[in-house]
Amino acid sequence: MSHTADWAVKIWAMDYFDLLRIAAEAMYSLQMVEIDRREPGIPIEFLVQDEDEEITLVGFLSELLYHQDTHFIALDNFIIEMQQAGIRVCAVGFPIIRIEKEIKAVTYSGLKVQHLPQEIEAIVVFDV
Amino acid sequence: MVKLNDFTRVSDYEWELPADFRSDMRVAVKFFATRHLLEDALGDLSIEQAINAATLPGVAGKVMVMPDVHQGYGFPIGGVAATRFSDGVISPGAIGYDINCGVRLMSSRIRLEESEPFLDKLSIALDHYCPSGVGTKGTKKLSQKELEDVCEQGSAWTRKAGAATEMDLLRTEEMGQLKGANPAAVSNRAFERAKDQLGTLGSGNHFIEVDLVEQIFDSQAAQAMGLSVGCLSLMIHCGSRGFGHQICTDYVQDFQSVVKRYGIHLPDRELVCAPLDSPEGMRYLAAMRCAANYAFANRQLLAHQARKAFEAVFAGKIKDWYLNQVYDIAHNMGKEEIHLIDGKETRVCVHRKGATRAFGPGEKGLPDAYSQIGQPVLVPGSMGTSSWVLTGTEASMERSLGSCCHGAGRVMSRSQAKRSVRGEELRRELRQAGIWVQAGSNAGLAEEAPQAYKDVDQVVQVVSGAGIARKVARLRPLVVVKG
Repeated sequence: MSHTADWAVKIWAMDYFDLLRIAAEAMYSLQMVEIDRREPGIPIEFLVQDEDEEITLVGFLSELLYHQDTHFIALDNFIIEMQQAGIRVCAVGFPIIRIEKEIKAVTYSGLKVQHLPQEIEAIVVFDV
Repeated sequence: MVKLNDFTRVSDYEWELPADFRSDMRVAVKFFATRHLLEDALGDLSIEQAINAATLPGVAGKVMVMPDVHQGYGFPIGGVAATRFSDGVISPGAIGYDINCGVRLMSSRIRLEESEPFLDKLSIALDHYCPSGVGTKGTKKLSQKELEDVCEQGSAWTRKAGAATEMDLLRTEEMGQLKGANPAAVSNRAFERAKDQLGTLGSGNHFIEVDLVEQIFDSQAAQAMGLSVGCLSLMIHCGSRGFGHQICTDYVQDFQSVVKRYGIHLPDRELVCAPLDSPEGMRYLAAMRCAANYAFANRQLLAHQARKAFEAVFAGKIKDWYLNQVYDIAHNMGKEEIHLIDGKETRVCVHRKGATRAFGPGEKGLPDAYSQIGQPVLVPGSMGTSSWVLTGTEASMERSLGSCCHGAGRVMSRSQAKRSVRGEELRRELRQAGIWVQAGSNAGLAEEAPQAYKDVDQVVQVVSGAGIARKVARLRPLVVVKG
């Protein structure tokens, strides 16, 4: 999506947890992240506070960015489930070989998660 | 939807939307712009975001919008809003993710004709000494204790580390150290992102630029700053890196529930806030100050490294190659200031996002060298175009909350810029214009093409025409190192 300030994406999925996975893929794809899958990868687990769907989406993607910026790994193979304390995410972290263009933050600007008749649609704006 | 005839034209360079334009506005919004720039601003959400800013609890005076305005996250880039400490809020979104993103200018006595044969080497040396680009790390990984010291001391920490002079600190906004920073208000996540990024340029629109002082408009001010026509200067544009981004992310997330707790209703969730006198508000202020100090230290270290690059290239070839500090300013910050608002001296938090402090002559906090001329205001243009050095005026205190523009402002999205401009062609054009470029990628270069930005000369004409800044010098780029 064209956005003066930085990058915006519109994504669609069949259910909310799938939306999270696709959002992750979109974020890495925008940055043209190349990962090294030759090794098994590192198991990563985290909890995202389950507030509303929009806040949770930002929290989830922000967690990915934290791992990217700090450990230079990208997460894949997500297993996501609802727990009492929040949304539990298990993933595998793969070393990043290259990033073409870095996303620095996930914003709430223009953030929208909409339940349409056949699918869920979300718009997320990233700060680059 | 806002239209041009909703505005009241105050002068050629000032326009206003009254406080009753929308029912939830608490104050009016003042735009510094020509008609043409205002029409540009109507092309994105920046005007609506400025109106939303006027709904912040405790907002005082008027919301100010600078001529380089463009759409931001919740709050427009180029926006200024002051909130009263007594009953107002602080909003991380009105300060920005890159806390204390700012600009430093350094002057020299190196003449163009003596340096020209070495500019390509200088571009390589700057690229080598000043790490830039995605994933780059600083030369030293800091311990937790060192990081906390940087948070509290800012540029003073770099002085103890032997990377700053007394003059560097004197000629930095707030001496490069905001008081009241508290590392306990910062998350472990933010510290982890910070520990190996100090002394790095980062990516995006950050850059180091070697400029030629091309024209002087105010010789007294230029002399005080050490700027001479025909001599080189150096500009650094950078901020608090992942540290500031994580702090803003943490607090924008936290404040989503804080606003509900305090019964604050906002038109945009990116404007979330907390009362300034609440524990949550004070925590964010303390954390923001940590990021601000980190950014001051970051620019100081980059300046120190740039001096090494100049030494490596010019020592033994040019007698006086040293870079002297002109000034270092922030353009994403929340500052505690006293302003005359509605006839009363009021203690406010001035949120400036993509806007620069522009204190006039005699104002407290200016170094002695600038007390007569006013604070330097540094306005980088887009890549390949002029940059400007201005000073703040007495009028800026009265008319713009002591604020001014910060740059050229985007008019084109990054993806549109990449579609319109080929990076390798741009690199060739810049070279043909006599500019040496070091950039991580051609795609990144295309995103920062001059046509993606407003005309900085027009932006500067507005602020000087409106009397909130005075022209001192125009600079022309010779070398660009892009993050």
